Amino acid sequence: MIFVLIIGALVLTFGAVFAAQIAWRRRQGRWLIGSIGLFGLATILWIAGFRAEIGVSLAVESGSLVALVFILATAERRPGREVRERAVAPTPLAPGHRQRGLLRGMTAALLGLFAAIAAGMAFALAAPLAEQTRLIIAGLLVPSLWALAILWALAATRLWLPVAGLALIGTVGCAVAMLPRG
Amino acid sequence: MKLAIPRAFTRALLDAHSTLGIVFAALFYLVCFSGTVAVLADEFAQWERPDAPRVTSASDAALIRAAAEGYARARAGGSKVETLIVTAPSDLLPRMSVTAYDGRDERTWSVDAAGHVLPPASAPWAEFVREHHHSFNIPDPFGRYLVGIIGTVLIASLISGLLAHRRIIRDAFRLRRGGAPRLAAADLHNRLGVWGLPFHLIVALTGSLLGLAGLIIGVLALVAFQGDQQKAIAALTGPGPTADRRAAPLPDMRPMLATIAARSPGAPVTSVLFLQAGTRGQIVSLTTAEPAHLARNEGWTFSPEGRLLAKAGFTDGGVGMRIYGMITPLHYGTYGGLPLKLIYVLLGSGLTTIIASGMSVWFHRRREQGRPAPLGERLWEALVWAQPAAYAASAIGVLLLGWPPLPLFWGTLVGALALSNVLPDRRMVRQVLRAASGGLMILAATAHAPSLGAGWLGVGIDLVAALLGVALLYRSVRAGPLPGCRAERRRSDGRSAGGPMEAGPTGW
Repeated sequence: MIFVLIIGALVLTFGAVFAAQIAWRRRQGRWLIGSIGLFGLATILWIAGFRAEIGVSLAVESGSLVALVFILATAERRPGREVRERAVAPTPLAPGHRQRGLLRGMTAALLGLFAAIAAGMAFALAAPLAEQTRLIIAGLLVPSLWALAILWALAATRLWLPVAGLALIGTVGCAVAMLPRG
Repeated sequence: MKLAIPRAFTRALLDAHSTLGIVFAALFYLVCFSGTVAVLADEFAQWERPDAPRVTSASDAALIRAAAEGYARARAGGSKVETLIVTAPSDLLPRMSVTAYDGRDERTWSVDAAGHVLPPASAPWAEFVREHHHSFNIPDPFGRYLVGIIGTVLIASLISGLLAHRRIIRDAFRLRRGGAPRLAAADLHNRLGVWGLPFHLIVALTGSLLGLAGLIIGVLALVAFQGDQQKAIAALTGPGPTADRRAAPLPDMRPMLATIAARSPGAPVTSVLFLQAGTRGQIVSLTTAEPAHLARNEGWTFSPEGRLLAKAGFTDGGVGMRIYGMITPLHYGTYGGLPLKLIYVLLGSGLTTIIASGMSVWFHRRREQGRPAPLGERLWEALVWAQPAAYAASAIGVLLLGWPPLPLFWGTLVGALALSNVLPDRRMVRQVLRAASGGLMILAATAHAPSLGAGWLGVGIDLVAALLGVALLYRSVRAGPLPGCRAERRRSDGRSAGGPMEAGPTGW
């Protein structure tokens, strides 16, 4: 029985990817709706076979794999082309480029970590949730917030904004974490 | 109404994505490739030691005997035995073992189905594969922190890549092979990146948490528990041992096993952990298999008298504990048997391809801009194509010569990087290392093949390794004769040496 459910889910997933591609080519919404419906049915089969926690994970992982195999199999083949290498003088870097890069890196790494840990600790200690839930979500928040802080530090056009922002987040987070608790 | 994303925003994110990719490419590749291989660490352990006693289930009597004999053996050997772990068989690894740890030394023995302790059936190569991904074999905690940091930067790279991709819908199914190498590499990079994103985010987030857990717990202990790490850990995992270190015998496990049988009928015990073993303050933690749940296990903590102190709640507790129980299975793909592990291997290979194709895009763009980086290209080719060779070489060293895998692995990698410095172009680096990898994989499969009792798993791994080795050799030969050899000189009509146009420096 489980084997039938797996095969059925994979077939439906393939159908969903195929329908999505048709929707992409023809720009027709009904094919997209059909694709979502087929993927939903596939997910139901995965859940029926493996229960919700495992079934949803299997639906997502198998969906990714089926889509990738489909795209690789339908790739457009083109004749090879030589790379044209130009011989032009390289564009000189703006003055202070390396120093700014170093400053961005340190902001991303150190200040970002400080802000992420402070925000995580504040959540772990002050969020209105059960203790273990607070701790686990805080644990997941720290690397996520640090990653976002890294992006902010690297992508901001004006570096003072992430520097000030992360310093503020870190300070507020520390203050919340240090608040006396009843 | 169309949502207009400012070009400056996506430009800035693309620059950030490029910066992260270029700076961390080598570390990303090492972690992701090693993770792809480490998914099958349990299978490699069985492949490496087919002679180890096969145990498919452990009775209560076997668990009790294994704990008693393991403890006695460790104490007789001079160990103080701070921690004792009995690892029962699982559906993924039909082996049983007992480990005694005293803070400095760790001793492990195999256990047979009756619970009798046997000489250890160590699998150093499989252990190396695991530890290489966990920490690059750098001493705790620094190695784990490094891997955790790489995971965090990978999250940033994934998010920036997604947000910078303006044509994500327009190019959703576009994949051009051949043609302009940079475009082909970019298509592969973007398609794999977008469609595999759920998997990539899950493994990056869980991996960074697993790596940085020690750091996070340390800070939490400092802020909320006056520096007491045990209290911080206990807040999450339940009660720990008390301070009473007066000598006491190992607790009787029968009441504990009876409690578990009553509360979770039919759930097999997968491990027994004695903390502060042999003292009055000791506690015993048992885990039971829960295959219907993504967490895969439930935890039970008992006092030495056999009283249930706490149930972890991985399967039916609060949201936090259920998420906590899912983190490791989600990261390693251990919740769906061997088929899911193979899906993880394929998706993990996709992630390594994303990293390689990303660098390919960068190198091609530099060439088109008149700023080639030939040394960088050769070093990158060496890093990418020496990985299979390094793993195969270390396996051969362990199987045939009993040599430790760590120096063989890094020696092969460093040797390949040095060789790339000597070889004149990136194509030759790629061809030579593909051929070396292919040859070494075939040799590893051949060296292992005569192992008695390898079973279908061992034969399957040998076959796959041999087939991959043949494929690598074929790709290397098909790329045409190397520059400077006789066949190359015969082609004097001005065309470059044959072989299909490849998408980039890494031949993707």
